Amino acid sequence: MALKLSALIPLALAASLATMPAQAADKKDDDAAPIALPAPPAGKGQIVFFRPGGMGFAVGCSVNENGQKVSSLGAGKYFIMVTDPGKHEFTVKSEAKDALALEVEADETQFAKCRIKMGIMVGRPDLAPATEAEFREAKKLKLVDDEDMGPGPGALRAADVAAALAPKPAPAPAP
Amino acid sequence: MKIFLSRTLGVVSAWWLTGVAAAAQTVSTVPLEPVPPVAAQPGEACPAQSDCIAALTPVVLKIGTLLGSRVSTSGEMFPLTLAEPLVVDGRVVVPAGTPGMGEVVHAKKTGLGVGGELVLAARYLDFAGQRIRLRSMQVGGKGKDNQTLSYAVGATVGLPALFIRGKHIEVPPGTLAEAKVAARFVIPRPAQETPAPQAAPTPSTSEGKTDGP
Repeated sequence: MALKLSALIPLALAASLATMPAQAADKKDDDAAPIALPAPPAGKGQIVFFRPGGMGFAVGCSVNENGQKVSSLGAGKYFIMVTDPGKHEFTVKSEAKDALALEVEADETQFAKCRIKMGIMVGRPDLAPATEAEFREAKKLKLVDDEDMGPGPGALRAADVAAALAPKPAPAPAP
Repeated sequence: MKIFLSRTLGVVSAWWLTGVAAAAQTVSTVPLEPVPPVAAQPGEACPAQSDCIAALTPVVLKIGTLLGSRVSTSGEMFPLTLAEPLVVDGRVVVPAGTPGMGEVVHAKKTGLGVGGELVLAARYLDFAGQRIRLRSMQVGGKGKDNQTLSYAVGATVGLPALFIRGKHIEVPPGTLAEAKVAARFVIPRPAQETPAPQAAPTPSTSEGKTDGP
């Protein structure tokens, strides 16, 4: 009996611990403003790469295109890549390589997510197409730090995002 | 020792249970969002005796073959048809059934706990010897993941986790998809539809008559 009780107590504790913080977090997140995404520049498209927190947070997920690093993507982070319309192929690599091809359309925003799937020795990054709803569901996402972004153009730095979101000055009225 | 073991078992079971619940909630297919109608662009006059389909005009397409993360390969072209006619000023300018082609941009089979992936793009419609370029196709997405379940079984049982795979995504033939016309397309009106010029009245024989001198 003592053994049964001792088994039940941690079970109940674990269940309450698993639900209570989630409820508290939900309340906090409801209050938090949703992430504002700027529209892509005219004639360009953009992809929002994000990585929800969870398993394999220690495994890297660095997004590359044509062998050049676009940006690292840590757990709970996101970045916006502005690019030309057309077909683009991205890769992530650690123990194994994964690739994702996307069709970027002008003036549209697409979404892709990185998850760490189970591997034999270490987790493997998996890059997959996603939806805006999935991006919005992933709570507490933060923009990747500038120093973790690739050297080339593509991933918007924090200042670029702020500038793109800033209200544009109204055109001067005609005399 | 027994108490330690039972506590560990309890915590792991609770984590496993929450993991299964989370896996069951994961739904990730791209929804079809309604495409708003597009007004004709100002400053782009349609040539005379022609019909113009504005860029970004929404079109409804029907997929012509079975596509899926298991059966399709990246780069493969697939047939499609126009499911609803394109109408300009109440006149059908491109009929339903007009054939076209799309491309499988990305296809990936399921992995350990992760669902299959499928990205499709509409390329063009073949109409009257010309191609109407298409863009922004809304179909496809990602199969359901079993990642959390795979992790949980891996942590508690071990090897059987290697047999837990995500779900494939499948697009059966006849599936409807939305896309947009990529650029303005001008269709000359058929000759019989153009109104004939007003014919000059032929003089009647009586009118031609003149009185004698």
